[in-house]
Amino acid sequence: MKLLFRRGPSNTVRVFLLGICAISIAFIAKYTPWFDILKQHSVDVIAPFYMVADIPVKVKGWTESRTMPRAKLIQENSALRSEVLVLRRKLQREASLTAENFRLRQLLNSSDRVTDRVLIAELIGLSPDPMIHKVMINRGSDDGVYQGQAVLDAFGLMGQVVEVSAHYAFVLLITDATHAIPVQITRNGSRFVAEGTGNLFELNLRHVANTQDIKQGDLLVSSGLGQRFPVGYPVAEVTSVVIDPAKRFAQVSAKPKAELNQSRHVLLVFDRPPVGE
Amino acid sequence: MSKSTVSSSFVFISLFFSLVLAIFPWPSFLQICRPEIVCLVVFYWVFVSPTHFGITFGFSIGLLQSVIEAGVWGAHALGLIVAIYLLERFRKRVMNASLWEQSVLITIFVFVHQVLVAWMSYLFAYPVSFLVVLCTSIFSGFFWPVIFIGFNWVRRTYQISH
Repeated sequence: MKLLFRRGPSNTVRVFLLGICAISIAFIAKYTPWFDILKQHSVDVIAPFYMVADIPVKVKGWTESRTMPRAKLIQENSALRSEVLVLRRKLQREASLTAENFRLRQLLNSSDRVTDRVLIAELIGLSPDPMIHKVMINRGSDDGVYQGQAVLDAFGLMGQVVEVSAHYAFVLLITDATHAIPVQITRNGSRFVAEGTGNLFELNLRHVANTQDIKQGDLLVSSGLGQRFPVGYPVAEVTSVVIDPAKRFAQVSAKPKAELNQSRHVLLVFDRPPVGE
Repeated sequence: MSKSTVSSSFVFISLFFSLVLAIFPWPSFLQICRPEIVCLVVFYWVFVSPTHFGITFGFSIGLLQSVIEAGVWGAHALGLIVAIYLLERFRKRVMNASLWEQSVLITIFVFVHQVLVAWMSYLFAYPVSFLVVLCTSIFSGFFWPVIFIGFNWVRRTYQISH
């Protein structure tokens, strides 16, 4: 098994050349679209690694579902039944509210919002680097998933799809340091941009004026500006507002509503046809 | 010939599982002490068989690792080739050192690897934590005897030449 021939350039030259090669690969992948096709196909290549790494979790889930005591199942079942009842009641209200909203929008001559269709996906892996917040899901372009699609969990917005292959996709979470999302406060409609910090439990609001009406507990929802995320999904709750007159902007941090470190099942929202169609 | 097939499959299996371990879900509070297993396994093969495994080998594994980890492409490749360069440079010294001295030297090499990976991530706007870099290197150093003794044992038991 001869992988490397000893003849050829010396180690120093080799390190130098391959080092330049590595740095250029990083730059090309980041700043040019040349590797985009490669990126999409790479998801298929690396999916087996994530599948193998996911086996212990799968086994744990399977044994838990097999060995769950009957009493616990009955208890859980009745809890779910009552939850369904409560949610159904809310849904009844929502039907009439939607109809009313639709009529009002017609009166205002504005376009009506179409109800979003959703697809459930399961999370099968996450990036090991604590600073990179990317997760892999088991749906791909065969299921209609497209780049830039919004991903939710039961509590709020999680992130967006960044790389898609036929059966798998990578989702960039809203807390990733390279991610930012346009949001607005439900209370007064002021718009901001919420940036990820690399911490799973924190978002920062960018360029908030010291005089801005914003306070702890305000709910931030997606504003739909930027044409990337659908309008009106909860994103985060403001946890602290620090106003320092010496600084140009207030420091506002918020906690994501979605349970980014716990949700195993996520929802993919179809709010528009795939890009390019 | 059969010997070399066995050894290449062992190399392949060890690398595959090290890459799986690299993305294996860890509890988030233990995140900072995840040893850099891929780096250690590559070091092992370069260390025991420098005629077969070298910088080009490290480059390809590093590239694969950054693709798998969905990080900055090429970051691990850069870190690994520099670390392997150092390992080959000081190979005689590492070879003659006792196991715990080896661990210390390996800690230094992994630290160089980690610093370069962090630097590349920093270039592409990711925040960098020095604590993570330091803890990863130290825990990798602790892990080196496990890899070294374990792999040597497997090779001796199954009569694999390298």
